[in-house]
Amino acid sequence: MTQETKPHVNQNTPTRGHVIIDDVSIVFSGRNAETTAVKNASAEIKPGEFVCLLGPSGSGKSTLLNAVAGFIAPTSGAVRIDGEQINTPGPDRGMVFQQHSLFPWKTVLQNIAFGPRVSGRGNSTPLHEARAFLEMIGLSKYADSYPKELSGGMQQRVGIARALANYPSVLLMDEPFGALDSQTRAMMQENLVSIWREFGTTVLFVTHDVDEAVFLADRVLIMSAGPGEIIKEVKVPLARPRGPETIASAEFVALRAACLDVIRVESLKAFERQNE
Amino acid sequence: MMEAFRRNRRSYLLSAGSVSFMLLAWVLVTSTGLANELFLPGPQAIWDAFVKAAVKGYQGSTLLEHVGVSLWRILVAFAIACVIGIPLGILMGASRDAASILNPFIEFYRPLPPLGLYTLLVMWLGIGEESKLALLFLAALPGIIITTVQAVHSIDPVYVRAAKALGANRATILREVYLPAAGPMILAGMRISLGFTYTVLVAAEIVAATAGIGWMIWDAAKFLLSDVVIMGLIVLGLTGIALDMSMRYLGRLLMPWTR
Amino acid sequence: MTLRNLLMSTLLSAGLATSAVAQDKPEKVTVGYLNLVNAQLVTKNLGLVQKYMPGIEIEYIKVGGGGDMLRAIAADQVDFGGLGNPPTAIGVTRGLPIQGIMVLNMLDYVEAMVVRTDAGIKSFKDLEGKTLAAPFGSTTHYLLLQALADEGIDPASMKILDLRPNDIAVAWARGDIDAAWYWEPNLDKAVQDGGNLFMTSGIMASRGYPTWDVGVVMNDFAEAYPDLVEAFLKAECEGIDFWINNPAETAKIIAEELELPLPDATRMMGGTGMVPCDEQLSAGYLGSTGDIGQFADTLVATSEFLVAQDRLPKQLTREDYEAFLKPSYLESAVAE
Repeated sequence: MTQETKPHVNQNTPTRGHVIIDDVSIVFSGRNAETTAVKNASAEIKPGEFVCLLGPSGSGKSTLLNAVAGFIAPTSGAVRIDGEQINTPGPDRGMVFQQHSLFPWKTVLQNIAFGPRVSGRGNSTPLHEARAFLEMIGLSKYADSYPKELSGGMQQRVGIARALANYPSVLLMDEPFGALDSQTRAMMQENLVSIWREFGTTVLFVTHDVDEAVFLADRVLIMSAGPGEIIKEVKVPLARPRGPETIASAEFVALRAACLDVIRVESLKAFERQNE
Repeated sequence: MMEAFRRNRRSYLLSAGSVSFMLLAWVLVTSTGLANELFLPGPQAIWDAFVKAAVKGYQGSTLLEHVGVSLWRILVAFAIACVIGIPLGILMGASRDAASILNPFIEFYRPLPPLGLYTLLVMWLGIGEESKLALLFLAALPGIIITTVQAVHSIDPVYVRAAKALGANRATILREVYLPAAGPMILAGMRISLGFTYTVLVAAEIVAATAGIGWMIWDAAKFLLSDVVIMGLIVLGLTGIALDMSMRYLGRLLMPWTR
Repeated sequence: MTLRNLLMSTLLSAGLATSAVAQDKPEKVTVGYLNLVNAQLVTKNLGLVQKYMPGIEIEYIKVGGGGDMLRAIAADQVDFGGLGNPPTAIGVTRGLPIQGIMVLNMLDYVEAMVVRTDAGIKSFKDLEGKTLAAPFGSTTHYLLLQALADEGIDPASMKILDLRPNDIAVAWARGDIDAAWYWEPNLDKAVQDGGNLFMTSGIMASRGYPTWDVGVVMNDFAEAYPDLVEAFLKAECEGIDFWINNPAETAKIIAEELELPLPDATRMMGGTGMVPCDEQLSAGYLGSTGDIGQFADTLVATSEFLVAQDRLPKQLTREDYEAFLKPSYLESAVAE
């Protein structure tokens, strides 16, 4: 067997990862009342597309993401990926969480190798696979370190590598950079985009940060403040690769303003509802 | 780093100071005749009893043999309690049904004093090693189960979700997520439980033992050999500390991420 | 409460305490008695000590065995107590502040070795390889080892376990042990359950190893209240006389005190030797002031044995054990 030095990357036009969110509503029944977290959400994400789900806090964007991940069953409607209805979590969808979710008891290498090992996905032995991914994110020398020895940004890079090591058709990201400082955050965003361009995986990225959404996405879906409905779709035709100069461009500023107008109204609604 | 060292040095100094003070008080009180030698022999008498028990032995066994027998009893009983208690605790922590089935028994027997059970154990299991091991086992078990359940409950659910999203099945999650995530807290529970088991040792060795550090203390007390009693208690205390330290060492070995 | 009031009441209570000590009699006398069959149960049941100590509260404390009694004495929890010869030898050698003032009882077949009938034990030699039990440090443990030594048998050739009498009963019922040397009221349970008596403490006494329980008083108490020691002895002597003269009545009392069937109480009485007080002053027992009797020899022999057993650090002279025995109180009590 040859030593794998790079992850096995599909350079052709992606064919997997076609996500259909079909009229999904999610209702939580509490002790006294029912809360509608997501209401009649419908969307289609093409294979290889990068879509950001943008909304104020409490807009149900994370709930919708969890339905795609299979952690929450929709009350009505369905999520289908490549024609298969989603009922449970599975290794075809890689998940990156907001908080630290690396297993503290496993080394960085063992964390990345976990998915390929338990799911049987991947192209070579789990440890070889993991080494290749570690090299890709530039953290090879931390292979035998424990997560707590890494900075927050490094940990989140490992989290992305761990999710990708299963070669998922969709990468689901729940505000993954929310806890990072702005410098690290900008670096991580560029890093993520270059990895995504290499892998061609479909990405569904949840954020409440308008700049982040516009910088990363091909398309931004904006959700209303509770009950969460997808109220607007903003296409982002900005050229790639994007960098600091992109943010300064008039096009970026205009797109950002378009999103911000909607978000501001929704945030205000959410704020007023809290004070009722 | 420097700061930590200074703090450590300060606490070492304080510990050494308090121990020296105790020893000095002991020497003073015994050498001036303030304390009745029958109840509190001086350090020299304790040392003599130690040397005698170590070299000549006490009632047919050397001190090392007494300690060995007791450690064997403790460790066997404790190991069985861990092998049964930790998986049981993980199961009860992870499954509400398992907890509902097992909780009534554990909640009922946990507050019972182990000594109250001993008479029954002797009737059921006889006067041999079985009843002694059973008593120590029963002393160790509830602490291990309860801390394990608590440890599992305090696991951050994000780890379980991450493992599920990566394609792990239930058995893998129990083994590779619940067990290591709860590990540090389980170890803390094990240390407390081992300490409690240790306190039951003398009681366990009262009935029909002919060796063991607990039996030695019990036997010597009957003959007013307070030098042997105090020497035995010191040995018991020191081996207890040694056991606890080796548990911590074992913990660092098994759970290198906690270092 | 003001400071002055506090001061006053403190002084007052201190004054009361002082005056109590200064009185010629204590408020309370505590008698520790052993859980076995002897005339102390009669004295207690008939309230004789109370009769001889009017106006003083009498408290009886039941003590399980010699080891517990030694601890009670060491902790100054009793004024009067009772001890078998091995614990007496231990207590005297270790300098406990006690003196022996009377013979509580001589041990006959109330203490005996029971062997399992189907174990085929016909001689001490047959015990080799068997499992035996005795409460360590007791009179029976002492006699067991003495008997083995006399027969030239190594105790290591058998398994001798340290069990308390009630644990012996449990172990016997389970079949864990082949033989046990212990005492009533648990002894009979083993006899009824496939056992027979192989050796008694009475037979060992005739071989030169008498075992007995001696009544003791704390030194401080005897010094402060010599008349109360005498009163105590008068009460106990009356109990002994009652035992000897009214066996049927006594059996009823024993049965009541130990919650036993009457026939059992009668049998156990037969296994216990009660010595009339005047006889206790003869050479076979306490002896008299200036001419201490055989009890001192028993203590010497018991101490020698315990030293050989490594359970006593040192051996005292006969004079030391003689000093422990104080027949003078009994002499005055009998003389009156």
